[in-house]
Amino acid sequence: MLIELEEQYDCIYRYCYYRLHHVQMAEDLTQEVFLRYFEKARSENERPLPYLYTIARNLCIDEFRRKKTEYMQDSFEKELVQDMTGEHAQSVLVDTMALKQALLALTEHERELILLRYVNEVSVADLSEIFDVSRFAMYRKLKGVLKKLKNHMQG
Amino acid sequence: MDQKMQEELKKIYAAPAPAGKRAFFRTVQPQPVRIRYMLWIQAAYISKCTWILAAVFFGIILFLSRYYEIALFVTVIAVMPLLAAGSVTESMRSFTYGMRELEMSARFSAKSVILARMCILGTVNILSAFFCALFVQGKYMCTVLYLLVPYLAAVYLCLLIVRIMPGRDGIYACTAGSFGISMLAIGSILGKGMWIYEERHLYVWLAAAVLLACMSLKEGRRTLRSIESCFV
Repeated sequence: MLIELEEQYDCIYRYCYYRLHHVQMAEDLTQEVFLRYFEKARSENERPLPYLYTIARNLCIDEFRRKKTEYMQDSFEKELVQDMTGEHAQSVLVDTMALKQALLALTEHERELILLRYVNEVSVADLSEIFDVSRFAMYRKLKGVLKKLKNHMQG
Repeated sequence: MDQKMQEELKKIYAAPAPAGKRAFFRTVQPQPVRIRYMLWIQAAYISKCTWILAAVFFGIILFLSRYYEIALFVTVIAVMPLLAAGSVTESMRSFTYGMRELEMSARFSAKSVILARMCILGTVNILSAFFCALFVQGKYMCTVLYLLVPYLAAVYLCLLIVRIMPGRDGIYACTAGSFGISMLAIGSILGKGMWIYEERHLYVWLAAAVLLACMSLKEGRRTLRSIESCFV
């Protein structure tokens, strides 16, 4: 089981980095997530993934409140804009630029869902447990987000 | 979402590599593993052929119970030593096929893995025998003893063989040894040995069962100790 959790470290770290946009803070929080998980996990039968992400979300929210770092939310957007303008913009594929522009049009929650579902490859069942909604509601939400993304890409 | 878009998203959401991952997991103590969880995991690793073979044997036994009582008894007595051979060789599979190093480097020690498998297979075989004994007429406890003695004799013999001859030769020797015990048991029923199944010899059977159980346990411990000394 420890091996499976090690594989999830990178995904949790990526999530924390996306939320905080600070390497050291993201790593500290990731390790805190795993320490809390080892302390509190009740049984081997429980699925670890939703529990890990729930801890990570709560810790990121606590970090925001503690440091009042609202600007961190905008960091991801600033990076996207920077990638599209700036020196290396010309080398970036047109499709990638269209995708980045489409991501900017999404809400923060929708970008979070994209990260979890399509980048970290969290299953719909686990996502529904993390966000405390039914599987059907999560499936519809994801479908809506994907449609919105594709509409923006097509202009 | 198509593969291309997913790859692009992964590039967009990419994060710098974490620096302290390995150091962190080296310091973290793994959670203690519950025995029930460990047995569950090991049961999944027992090959399907073993379960199918056992199911086929007991299926035949239950089928025979409807028609021929003596045939049922003979079949169960004959089958038990072969099941013992199958269980012991299955438990030692990693050693037979040269997977010793891999298993010894895994999270659970080779000793605990083999012990778990022996316990699972042994328990299933014995419970199945107890169940089949219900269909044989005569005193239940007597029937159970008549089934247990050849089974335990085969277990002891197979454990001794796999300790002395690890590898595929051990499998063949176990099969031959168990087959010999089966033939002895069948021969005693169908030949002139039926007198040993009389009720006045019940205590002899009981003593034999207890003695063989103790010998099997002792041999099992020796086998597990010999696993530890493999790489010493």
